[in-house]
Amino acid sequence: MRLQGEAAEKPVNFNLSRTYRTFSTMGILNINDLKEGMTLAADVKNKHGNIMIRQGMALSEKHIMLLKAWGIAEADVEGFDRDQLHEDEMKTVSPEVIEVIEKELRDFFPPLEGNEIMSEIYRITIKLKIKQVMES
Amino acid sequence: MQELRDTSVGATDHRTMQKRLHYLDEQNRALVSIQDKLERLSDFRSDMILSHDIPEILQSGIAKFQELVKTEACSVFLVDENGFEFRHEISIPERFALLMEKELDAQIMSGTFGWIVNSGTPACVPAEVFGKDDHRRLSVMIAPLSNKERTLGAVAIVFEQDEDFIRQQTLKLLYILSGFFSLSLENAYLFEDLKKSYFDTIRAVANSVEARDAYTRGHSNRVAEISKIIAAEMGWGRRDLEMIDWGGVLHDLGKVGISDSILNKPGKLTDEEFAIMKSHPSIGAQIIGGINFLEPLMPYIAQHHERYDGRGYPAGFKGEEIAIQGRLLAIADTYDAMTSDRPYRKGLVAQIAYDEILKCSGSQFDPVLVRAFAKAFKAGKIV
Amino acid sequence: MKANEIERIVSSLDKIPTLPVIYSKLGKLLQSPDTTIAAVSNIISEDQVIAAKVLKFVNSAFYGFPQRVGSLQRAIVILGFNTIKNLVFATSVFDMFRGMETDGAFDKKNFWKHCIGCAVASRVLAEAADLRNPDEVFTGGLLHDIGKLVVAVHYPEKYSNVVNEVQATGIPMVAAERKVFGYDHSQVGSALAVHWRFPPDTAQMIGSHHLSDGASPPRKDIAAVHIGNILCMALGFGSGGEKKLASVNAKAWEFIGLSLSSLELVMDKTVKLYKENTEILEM
Repeated sequence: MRLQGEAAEKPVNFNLSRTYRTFSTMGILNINDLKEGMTLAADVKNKHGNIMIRQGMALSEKHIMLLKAWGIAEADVEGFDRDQLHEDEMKTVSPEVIEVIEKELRDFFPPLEGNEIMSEIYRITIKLKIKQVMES
Repeated sequence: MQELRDTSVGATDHRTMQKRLHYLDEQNRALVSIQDKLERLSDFRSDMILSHDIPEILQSGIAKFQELVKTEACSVFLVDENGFEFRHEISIPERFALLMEKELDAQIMSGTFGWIVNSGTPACVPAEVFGKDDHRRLSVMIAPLSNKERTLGAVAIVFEQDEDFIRQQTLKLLYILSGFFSLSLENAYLFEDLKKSYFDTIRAVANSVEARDAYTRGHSNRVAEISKIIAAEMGWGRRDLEMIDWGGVLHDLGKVGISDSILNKPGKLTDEEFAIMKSHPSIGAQIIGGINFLEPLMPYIAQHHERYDGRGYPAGFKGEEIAIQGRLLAIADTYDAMTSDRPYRKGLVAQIAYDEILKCSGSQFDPVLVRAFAKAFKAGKIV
Repeated sequence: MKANEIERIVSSLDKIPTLPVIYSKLGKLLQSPDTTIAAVSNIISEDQVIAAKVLKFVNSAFYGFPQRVGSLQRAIVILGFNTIKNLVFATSVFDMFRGMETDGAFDKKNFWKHCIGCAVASRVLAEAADLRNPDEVFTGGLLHDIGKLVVAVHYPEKYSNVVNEVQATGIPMVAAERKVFGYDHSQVGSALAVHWRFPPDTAQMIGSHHLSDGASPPRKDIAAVHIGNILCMALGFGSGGEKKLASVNAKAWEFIGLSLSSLELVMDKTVKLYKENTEILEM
């Protein structure tokens, strides 16, 4: 995603959907909110990366206890789609505000071309700043 | 502590000296205590690390814990085969096993256990179930047992200690001990994994010998199974059961050197052919003789065709001269040979084969072992 | 500037407060294996403010203990003597520096916000990278720019020049500092840390957090503070005085061993924890 020296000719929504694509908050619930019968939307892995429970499994009491025993803090559960809510909320932030945020950041950041790390930090910062604006 | 009275020394020097003496005194006491703990720790180390036997490790480990730290109860929970469920393995004293399991469940539900496993460090928390009806304040320390890659289990220790009085030393000790535990367990697991792969490889080789011939396929595995059953009936321990298992799988390895024409001949063997057949126990023993790990099995394999009355082959050993494992394998081998189909005849019915074995008690077979075999058979353990 | 020259300067600085007594008392106590939890808790409780802050920290999302920790004793028993010691250190030293008088030109509030931001970011990174001393990394992050404060307090005018130079030209603070003073804040910070006998790891984090282009960090915790510093600046927590954001040293990133995809989670967590930490440290 090249950001420096480009005018805002691209539609704003294009930027946003690119920003939000890789990060999904859909249905991630805290372990204490998990209930029997909920279905996993993604594999649950422990901190070593081993799959404990596979995606699609309906949670039983035993499963929940298992997760607790391993200190798993949260799990992605089907049926709670916050992505859609996000998209709608995002539209409440005006493109001008986003422009301002982006410009400030671009001035502050070093050149991003070819710099993977800084580009990623930039991307995340924009996202978090927009989130901040949405929440206030 | 001696008071120093030297009139030439000023009052402040006095006080300084006293302070220093006091300090040295304290340090000395601390050092003696540490020395004592270190000695006991090194006992702990040598007992545990040298063993590969998991129940033994757990048993001695917990006993040592209790020596160093006065505990109400101590339990070990290990992660099971699929790697996620914590199963109770052992508790000392045994009568607290159920209570300790309940305690662990409670700690899991409250999220404390998970936190401990995740953070990888031990923690002391108030006991939730243990000592509920007790007026005492009991704490439980849960230490995860893990190496870098995986969590192996957890140790739970219940002790009566007002947390105010827990010493830095105690906590540190418990941290170190759980470290030793983890190390030993990991070692034992690796050893078992190694042993298993090793033996799986051997089993594959042994089975390949039988692959040539549909009649004998599975024979060695069955002999191993039957031998294990008889050995269990004789009350043999884990290690011996393991050895007889391997002996069973490998007993006919020597046949790899014998040509098909003799092995699968439908008719009777000539004297010459029979002499060649009779060499298979020695050949088998020789083959495995080169492998350090399997050397103990040599006599069993070499002697599985010896007879109790001394008229067997190749050496003609008699009675107790024959290794007991050899005597045992002889029974299992013969029984399976009788009950399975051969190129020259169909298999006998189990009952008839059984009767035959009993008939040969004292002549071909060791009577004591035959009795064990009979007992197992009558209990339906031998199919 | 040579190391002993900086040491000389540092030892001549007279406006530096004394190291809080609670820290050295605690250190002494912890040397004895026979020390009881009650004894440690009592020492800490001698300073009610510190004790309260330590307890708040223990209950914060940093440690994520499932139940509320109500007493200092319980905190020690759950988190261990070492963690508590680190927390006491961080809180007491932080308070000590906060008490220093600065003149109007030095933006104290933003300075401390930046320090807390760096502390939080560095710690989150340390945990993500599974380092064994996340609390020390927190302290390292908290104090990484302490050299700036100390220099500003003693040479306010010269320090203003540094700030103006940076604003006008966009060069990094360390470059402007070297121009005006002949040394930079990380060198001063490191010398101070040694002077006060901070734990050596912490001193190194303070001294080496600015990694020049080719340099590689000798340890992961130093890399964590380096990266954490940049992250908190990117996120806009307070100000370190820089006009332009420096780039993360590629070797540092490689060394710490985190994947690029984990960065989002790290930054998200940092944002969440920053707020909590500023509350605890009463900003």
